[in-house]
Amino acid sequence: PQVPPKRFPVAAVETILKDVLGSYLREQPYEPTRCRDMVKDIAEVIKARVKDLMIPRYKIVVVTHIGQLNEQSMQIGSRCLWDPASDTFSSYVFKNTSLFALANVYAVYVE
Amino acid sequence: QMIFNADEAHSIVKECIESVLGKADYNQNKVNQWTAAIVEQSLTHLVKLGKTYKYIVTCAVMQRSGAGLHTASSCFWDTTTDGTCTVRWENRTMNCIVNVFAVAIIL
Repeated sequence: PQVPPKRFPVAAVETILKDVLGSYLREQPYEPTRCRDMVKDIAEVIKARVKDLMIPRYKIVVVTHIGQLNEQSMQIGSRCLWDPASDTFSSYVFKNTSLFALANVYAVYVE
Repeated sequence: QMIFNADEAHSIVKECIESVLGKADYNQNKVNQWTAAIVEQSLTHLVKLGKTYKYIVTCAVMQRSGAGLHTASSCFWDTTTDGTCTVRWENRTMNCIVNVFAVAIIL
């Protein structure tokens, strides 16, 4: 097991996710072309802000979903094969009356 | 120098989805165990490839009601060794999207 010099700050990253999703999507109605572009921008912005935290020796994977709120049901899940002593993730869900958004950041330690 | 084989991962995952969702109709009571099964089976098969990678597998299963869903990802890693692959699958009543992210372990 590899012990990282600085642990990945899950809570600080959650604040970033909340901030980015909120500022992009608050009051936004679901619109296919707009959401398609926004989901990509949001992933890039989140990656940039997590990189700014300067956590050494971590590789980062950011996954974002934006979906329309109809009466449909859905389930999103993930599993990771990694070293739980050093690797972790951060997750946040945003909802308004017309859409939902999920952002996950996975952090993998590299010796 | 290892390279992530996306085609290999794609066929592995597609088979896992088929075996779990194959002939089923969307069922809210079962969707939790379905996503868990797809993800766990995919991971097990990826590990059997015997490559020194850490894996992140995500799965979204959605009822087909005409609602839109967009997904994006952005990764900060070593582009020579690390990689990703996405599998999209659907049947009459549901959509399924599985993402695999593979991060190389340096020994």
